[in-house]
Amino acid sequence: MILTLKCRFCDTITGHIEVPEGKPVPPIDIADIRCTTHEQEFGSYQDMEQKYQAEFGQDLSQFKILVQKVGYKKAAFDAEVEKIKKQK
Amino acid sequence: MEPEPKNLQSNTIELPLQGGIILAPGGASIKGEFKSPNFQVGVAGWKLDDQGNLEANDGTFRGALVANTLDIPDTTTANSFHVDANGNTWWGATTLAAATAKVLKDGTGYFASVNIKFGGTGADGALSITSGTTTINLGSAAVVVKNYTSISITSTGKLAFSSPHTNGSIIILKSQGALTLTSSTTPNIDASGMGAAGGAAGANDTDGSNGNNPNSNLVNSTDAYGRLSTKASSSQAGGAKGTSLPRIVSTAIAGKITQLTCGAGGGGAGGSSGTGAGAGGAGGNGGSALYIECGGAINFTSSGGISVAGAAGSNGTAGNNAGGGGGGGGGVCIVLYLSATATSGTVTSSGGAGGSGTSGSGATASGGGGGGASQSTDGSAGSAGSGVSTGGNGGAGGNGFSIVATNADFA
Repeated sequence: MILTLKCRFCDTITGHIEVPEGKPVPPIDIADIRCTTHEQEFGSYQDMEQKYQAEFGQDLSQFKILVQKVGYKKAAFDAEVEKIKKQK
Repeated sequence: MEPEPKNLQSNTIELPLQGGIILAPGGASIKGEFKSPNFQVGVAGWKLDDQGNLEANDGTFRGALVANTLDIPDTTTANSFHVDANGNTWWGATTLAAATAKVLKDGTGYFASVNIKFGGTGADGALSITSGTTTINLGSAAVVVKNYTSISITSTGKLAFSSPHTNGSIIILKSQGALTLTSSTTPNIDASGMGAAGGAAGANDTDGSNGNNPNSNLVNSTDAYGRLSTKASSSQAGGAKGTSLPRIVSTAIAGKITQLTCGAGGGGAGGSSGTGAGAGGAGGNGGSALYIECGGAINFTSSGGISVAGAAGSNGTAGNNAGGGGGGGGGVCIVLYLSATATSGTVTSSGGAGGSGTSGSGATASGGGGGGASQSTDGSAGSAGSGVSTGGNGGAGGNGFSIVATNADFA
């Protein structure tokens, strides 16, 4: 069986995981997939996570809500982080 | 001609020497038991009794064998194999509870020791990334193991990670076959900043926080973290450095021992004080400890293709004479392979840079946070604030190290 890796923004295929026939499907533990074009346009998921940790600490439960709210886009994420910092 | 009936009342049925047939046209019932003349319990011959019990020597079943339980050689010998009526299997004991090797009906296995082949099990399939970034969620686990049949990151592909453990995640990637890292994206395996967490920044007139100590598979580290710097005061001192960990052996790989330690977190800088005060910079995360097994041929050509670098500390708040955070310690990367197509690629394992202190008009400036250590190198202490107007820079994290070598130690 082939699990296709696709960009979350445009469905461009970026790779795949091929599991041999008859073997159980491994747990899918992928946090994010973005193609080269959209990583240049919207920044990287890892950068957003590390910025969040530097600003607000290690608990990432709110990060996951925030990053979803801003559509996984770094410019909007940065603006939201600044807004939260001013509110604190 | 009707065969002559045999006397079933006697103890013995004798057939002609050339063979014969016992006929029972209406069906025959046997009360008691049938047995061979040489039958001895557990020794020789065979016996079939009217309770349905059969004792024999060797047997051949051309069709299915259906049984309730199975005990080899019997139910009382410790060195034995068993299957119970529920489908549990075990070895080396008369009971399931006492067995040191067993596989339960729910798929759970227990073994006193397991010899797993170099290159892993391949249970996670073949990974191929040709473009963009695929980010694996580490799920805050201290150790994450992936078993691929092959790993291929080519063209412009990149593999990254997220959500490390607060003391850093040790990442183990196993490939039964080829490991191909030829992507032009650098790094194409990015485990930077996946080590121990950096300390939080201090807000105005508040101390920063210490970085975290790193996870290690062998050493309990207590002194590797970058120290905080306190809120601005007359001393304006920087945070102290983290200290590198002791090695169990003089080299990272010796015999069957591979030491894997994440980079320590950098210390957070305290905030400046008084009018115009601002927050210090947060400490950077350490780098991950990344171990890769390649059971086939490695083709690694990307310069800077793998990164386990520590993250940089954050700068103090601009215009507020606040200190910068300490950099995270570099991680460790060990790649062992069976054979090589190319190994010209390189690994980045540097410590993170300290964050910059800023100038401003606050009453007193804060110092920088201390740098976190790596497995092999101390971090640097944070700088003291300069006078009242400039926060101190954070100390850099200690550099980690990497090894890319032929496997000579693991079967």
